[in-house]
Amino acid sequence: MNFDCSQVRPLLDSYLTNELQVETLHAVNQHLQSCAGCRVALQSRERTRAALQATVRGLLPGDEVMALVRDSVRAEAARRVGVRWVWMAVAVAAALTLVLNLGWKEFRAEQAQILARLGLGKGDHIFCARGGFFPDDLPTPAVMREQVGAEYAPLVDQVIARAKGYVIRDGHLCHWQDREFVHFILERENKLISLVIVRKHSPDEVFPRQALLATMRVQGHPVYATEDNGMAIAGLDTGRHLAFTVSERGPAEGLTLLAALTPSLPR
Amino acid sequence: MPAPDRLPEFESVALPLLPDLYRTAAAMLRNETEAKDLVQDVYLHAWKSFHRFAAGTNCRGWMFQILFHRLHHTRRKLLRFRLLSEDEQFREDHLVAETPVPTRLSSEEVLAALDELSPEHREVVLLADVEELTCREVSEVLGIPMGTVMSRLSRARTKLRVTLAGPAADLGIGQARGSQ
Repeated sequence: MNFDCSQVRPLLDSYLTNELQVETLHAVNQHLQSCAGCRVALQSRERTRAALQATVRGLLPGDEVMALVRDSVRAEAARRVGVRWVWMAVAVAAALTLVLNLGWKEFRAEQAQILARLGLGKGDHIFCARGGFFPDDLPTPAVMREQVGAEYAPLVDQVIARAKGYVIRDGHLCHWQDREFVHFILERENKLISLVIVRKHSPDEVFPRQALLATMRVQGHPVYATEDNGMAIAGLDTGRHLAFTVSERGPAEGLTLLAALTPSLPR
Repeated sequence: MPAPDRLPEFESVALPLLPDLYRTAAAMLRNETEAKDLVQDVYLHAWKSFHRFAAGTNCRGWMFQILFHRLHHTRRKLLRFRLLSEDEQFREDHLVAETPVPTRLSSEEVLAALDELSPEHREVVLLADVEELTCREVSEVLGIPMGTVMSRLSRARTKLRVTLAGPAADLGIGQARGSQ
């Protein structure tokens, strides 16, 4: 393989960070031996990287920062000792749970294909809810209405009214994989359930048929479901939007919540 | 919330990362007080979510993820961002002959060059070139696709070099280097 300058220059950063494959590395090495211009370009990249590392790594926190951080975390831990969340009790119908569980298990085998689309909801749940990116203090409905924006503001009251028995930790707009999600984070007994709504990029964005939950329809809409790494994901196609629940409390609760909220979802 | 008896475990895995998080915060915000506040906020969030952190997984990536989430959602207005002039943008987009970066660079020059990057470019170059995260890790930390990381990184590195080479270029150094 013989490379010229126009092929070598774009590879020099990867060359520096040892990210080239063996054959490409050999070709770049060969070219560098005979090309002064590219050697100078490589040195420029080395100098830039070295100067950047030396400068930024020189931005050291003072001892007081470590003390401040340690003390504030310890104070927070102490403040929470003995505190228990008091949860409202909600009955989930046993028969419904049984039916939903049966339907759920039918589709576990085809997870990989299914996750291609249902993974959208899961990804946002992991990025935002599991990452703990919600305020410590519960937001007021007014704050959540402002956070989700005018278009989705009416959804806040609907979620409050219909998600009985859950603490609503946050409702906001968030961004993951360059898409915008409306995200409600609900909690019960220290476990989270996300309600995630994302506008479709095109009408072709539909859930895979393999994930269709044969035992359940909500308001005439088919429901899709799967399970991954302890998270039960349920999806519903409303036309212009895809809606998901991602439940760490098992499939029945995710599906029940999705069913309860479907009448309120944007079409 | 995690059980209080997990505090020693949290301190042992998370506190050693404080210098890495602080310098990234300081380089993003360019303000010591804001960087301190941000890092304190990040650690409080991390502690409150620690019961969801899977032991043995990438704590450094997780902490950086929290840092950039807090930065994007609560401090975006504080990020320093200077728009390029038309002349600079043209030079950056159409640079054919590379001007070498000077051998000696001061910290002030490097920080000034960093300041000229947009926040989106600054964050990828800090994570990849200073913190030495892989493109995949940067993608996970920032929640953006790998392809976006790679294109932003390439553009950020080019822009940094162009800015750092600026004084040399103004003196006509390195413009006519031969190439094959």
